[in-house]
Amino acid sequence: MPGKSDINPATNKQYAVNPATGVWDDTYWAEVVEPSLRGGSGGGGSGDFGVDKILEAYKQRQEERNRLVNEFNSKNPFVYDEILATKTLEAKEQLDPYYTQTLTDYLSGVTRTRSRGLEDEKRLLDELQTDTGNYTDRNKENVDLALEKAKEGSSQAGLFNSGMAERQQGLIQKDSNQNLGDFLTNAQRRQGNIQQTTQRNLEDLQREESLKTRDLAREQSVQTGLLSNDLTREAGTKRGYALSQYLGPLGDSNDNYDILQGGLL
Amino acid sequence: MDLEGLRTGAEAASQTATTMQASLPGVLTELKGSLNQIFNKDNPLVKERTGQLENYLSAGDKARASYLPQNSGFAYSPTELNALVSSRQASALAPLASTNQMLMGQYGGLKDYLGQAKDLFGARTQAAYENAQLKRQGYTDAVSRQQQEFENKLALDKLKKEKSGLGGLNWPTSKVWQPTEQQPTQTFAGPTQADFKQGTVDPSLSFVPNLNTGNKYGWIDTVKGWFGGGNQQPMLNIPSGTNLNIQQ
Repeated sequence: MPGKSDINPATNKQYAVNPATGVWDDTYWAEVVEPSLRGGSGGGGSGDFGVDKILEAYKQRQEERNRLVNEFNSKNPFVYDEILATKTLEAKEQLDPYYTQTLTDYLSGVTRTRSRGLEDEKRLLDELQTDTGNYTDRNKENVDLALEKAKEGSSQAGLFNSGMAERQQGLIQKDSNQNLGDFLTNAQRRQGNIQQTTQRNLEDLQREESLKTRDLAREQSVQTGLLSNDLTREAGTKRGYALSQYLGPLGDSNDNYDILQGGLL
Repeated sequence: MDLEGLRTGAEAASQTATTMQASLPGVLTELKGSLNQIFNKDNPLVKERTGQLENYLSAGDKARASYLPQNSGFAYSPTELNALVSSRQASALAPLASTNQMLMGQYGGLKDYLGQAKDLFGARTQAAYENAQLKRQGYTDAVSRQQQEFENKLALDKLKKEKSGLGGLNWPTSKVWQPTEQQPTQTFAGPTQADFKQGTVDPSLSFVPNLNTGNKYGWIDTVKGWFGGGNQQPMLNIPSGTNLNIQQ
């Protein structure tokens, strides 16, 4: 014999005695007893638990909470990618001055080095050219002087138009030309070295400049990415806090919700 | 007095209490399910969390893809790449963590609700049991009262009949208890020794039905005694040979 309320072994459903018929009845349980227990007819009576009243109160509370969340979201939309893009711009704005200044300082140094290199090259070449001109002039003067002395010697010896005199003058001329040629060759080598050194310095400088510029840009990109991510993270955290504040007592826990008061807020 | 109504009410109250007791676990389970359902239905925070979770889970891959040289224009070092990816994941985690914390806070309250509901329902079940007990007691009292009235009436009738049949006994009607609505459970004490005077009462009248016997010597036994049945014992024991004189 089952108790006053039990599981019907035939249907595996809860059932109870229908007082009208005195028979155990699944339908009576489902249509009369169970709704009564749920409290659908009034709530708080002696024969029910008032579940519907509790659920209704909780439903109202939840709907109010949902409404506030939707209201907050409409006023403060948070689309992650958009926030990230905005924060990336902010981060760039924050970091650009530093990296612009750093790059400018560096480039001014590079420019100065480059101009100094070119100036040095020009100066050296000018000096070399001056030396060459001076040497050529001196050489010409020396040749002229030597030739004059040789002519004077030959005439004193009565050999002014002799072959020996011609030969001596030719030797002087040849020796002078050879010295001048050696000097010019040496000067050309020095000029080449100067130009090569300058060119190499400029090339190294250009490479260093491009590397430094690239590294600075990459560092700026990394720092901008890190900062933008930090700013986005902060924005997300702040937004969560703001939403919690906006919801007020509905925001976090239900500690202030007393179910024993029948679900009154 | 509607005894049937009281009986039906008592039975119904008893059944209600038993049913409440039996259905308590099921009602709590159903309450839990219903609270969950209400909590999750159209909950913008739940939807938000779903989107934020997807974003967080894909943040690492998206970041790695966006930081590839062909997409970013830079060949980041492994250290830089790890820092950027971790940072991006952390930024995607922040809103998710906030929403999650809020949801957990709100959802965790459901356990409090269920705990409180369990206590509340338990108290209501207990109250239903007490209500059923009160109704059953009320019904029992009503039955006893009606039985008492019936016994009193029978006793009164018998006394009147005996008085009129024997002719020598003038029982003071003031000593016969009359049940009233104000004193439904008042018991009849019977005549006192002072009401009797020796030598004036027939010894055969020494038996006076005791109206305060309850079920032990109820009215059925009394009736049986009149017709010689049962083991009816006199409830007022008067020593043999005593002459009783009942005062007018």
